[in-house]
Amino acid sequence: MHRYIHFALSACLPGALFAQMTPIDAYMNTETIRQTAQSPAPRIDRDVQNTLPLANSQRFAAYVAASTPAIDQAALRQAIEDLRLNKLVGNTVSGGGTTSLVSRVAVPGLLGIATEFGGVLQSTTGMTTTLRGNLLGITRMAFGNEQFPFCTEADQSSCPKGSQWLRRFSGAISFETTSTAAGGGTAATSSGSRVPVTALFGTDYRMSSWGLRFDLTRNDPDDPAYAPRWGAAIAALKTAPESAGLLAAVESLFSDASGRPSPVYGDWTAAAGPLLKNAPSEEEYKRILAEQLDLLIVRMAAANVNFAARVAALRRGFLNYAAVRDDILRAIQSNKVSFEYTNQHPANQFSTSNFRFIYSHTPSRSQTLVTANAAMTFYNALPVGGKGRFRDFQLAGQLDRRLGEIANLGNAVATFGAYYQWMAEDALIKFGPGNTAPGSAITLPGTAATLLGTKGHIGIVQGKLTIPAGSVVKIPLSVTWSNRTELINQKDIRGQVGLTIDLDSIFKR
Amino acid sequence: MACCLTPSTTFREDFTGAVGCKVTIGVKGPPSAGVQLLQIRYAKVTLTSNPPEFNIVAGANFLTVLIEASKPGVLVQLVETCGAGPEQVLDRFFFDPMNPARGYIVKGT
Repeated sequence: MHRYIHFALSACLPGALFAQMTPIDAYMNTETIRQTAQSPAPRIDRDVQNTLPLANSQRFAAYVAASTPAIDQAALRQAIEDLRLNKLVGNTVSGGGTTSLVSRVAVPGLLGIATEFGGVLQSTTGMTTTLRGNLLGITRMAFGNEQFPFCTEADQSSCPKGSQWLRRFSGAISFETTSTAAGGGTAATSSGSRVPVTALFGTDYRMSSWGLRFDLTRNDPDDPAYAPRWGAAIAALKTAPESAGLLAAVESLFSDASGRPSPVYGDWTAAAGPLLKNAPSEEEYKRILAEQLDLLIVRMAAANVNFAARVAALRRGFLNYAAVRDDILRAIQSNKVSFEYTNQHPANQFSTSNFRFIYSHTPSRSQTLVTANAAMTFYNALPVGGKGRFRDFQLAGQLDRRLGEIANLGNAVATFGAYYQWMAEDALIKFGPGNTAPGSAITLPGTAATLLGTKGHIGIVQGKLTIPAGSVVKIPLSVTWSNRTELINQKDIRGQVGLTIDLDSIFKR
Repeated sequence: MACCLTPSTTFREDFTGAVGCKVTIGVKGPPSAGVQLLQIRYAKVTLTSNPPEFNIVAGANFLTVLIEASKPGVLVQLVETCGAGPEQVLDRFFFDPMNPARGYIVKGT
């Protein structure tokens, strides 16, 4: 199946996009190794050392995985084993059977396997869980790592074109618990069943939306303003657990049982170094290096039964680190433009398609972030009671300004936002035939209800001050005014006091 | 203060040094490239001092460094600061975002 799809892709797209590198070409695809291979013999010892696996451990781990498929299979087996254990725990906890345990566990299980390959990330907001996947990561899972090499935000220019394009696409799918969807205005049929939902993961989850996003812009390292922004932001990586995890994984791969450098590796470098130092040409250097790396894999695997697991751990360690670094780099883009498509399935309303342009700008010398959105929404099909498929148009803008630092607590942030929406027609709420209206015994005659007087203009303005209480807790204070909402034609003004807890900050300690 | 680390004459380790000698490590790069040493470990211990320092212990041990730069391919130097004397360049390499963590073996004798 994979081969068939890949054939179809290859037939449709230029071959250069999917040029496949051999494992040794991928290992040597860095200036330090290339220059050493090209230099005449005898080469400088230090330069030769810089082409060996301890100096290039992340490249070596990729080489091992590419040339030894059993390594990836071992990682996958481990992930499946973890999944099996998760299921066991879940079954024990919920023996009463009131919830669908298998479906609950299936989500993190799928996620677990996917994150092994850097494909999918999970975020949870309230009762909605969103799985976000980078198209490059998902494609690598489906078609193989050699075909679509990993590509970081920091070094897009050296990535194959196919990987460069794929990584700019991302997808998201959101699920919410049906009990949440049912809260308040649920339309129940006479038989007591709920509104039909897309139950991909069992009866207690429903899909609330899915979407695709394409990033049109990327960082420019040659911009003079980029380096200072980068320097300030990247400092966060110093304390990130992913940084320490990566170094530990490097040492683990090359160590013996005592945690010190493995004599197997030392013996290998003592023999391979002189051969490479005196290799007569670049081609010979490449041939000898490939031959010696293969020999090292055999010896290390024979000396350590955990070799495959350690290679997998290093690969995972690098992917985790690279994911944090990529997030940082994306956050400091001075001009960012994205296009997003979202297919929404709101409970009790007709499904819609939303097309959105997102622009954000960070002036180089300012602590201000400007964000603007423009979007249109269409019904996926002409709704019963509707006059057309066009539903609404939206415009939004927001200004975030970092204020002075509050001693020992961090920076406060002031935000001003405005939102405008034009509803082409009155809003529609969906009921099944013969349904009763929510919270009443009134039987409705049709399949949809029109909320009268809800078409036209909606305006919302908000002012917000977010006060930090340390690096974990933040207290947002806001005042919001709106002339009406989508479903209720009444003015509304409200003040909100919140409390947000950044759990990531806790776990990074 | 003299430099502690000496490039190894065999390929079995990267550097040798006398046990107990205090090593101070740093990184250098082009001013516009923002080269930073994010993390450094020696003999299984993360070094938290600024600048990073460690005393050489007996036997072979890992020295691992995590380095970042704003531009791929910039020339990075790993240096040992030797008191009032000149710095010693331990290693020179082009920054590789696909391989930000590098390892060395230091043998204390």
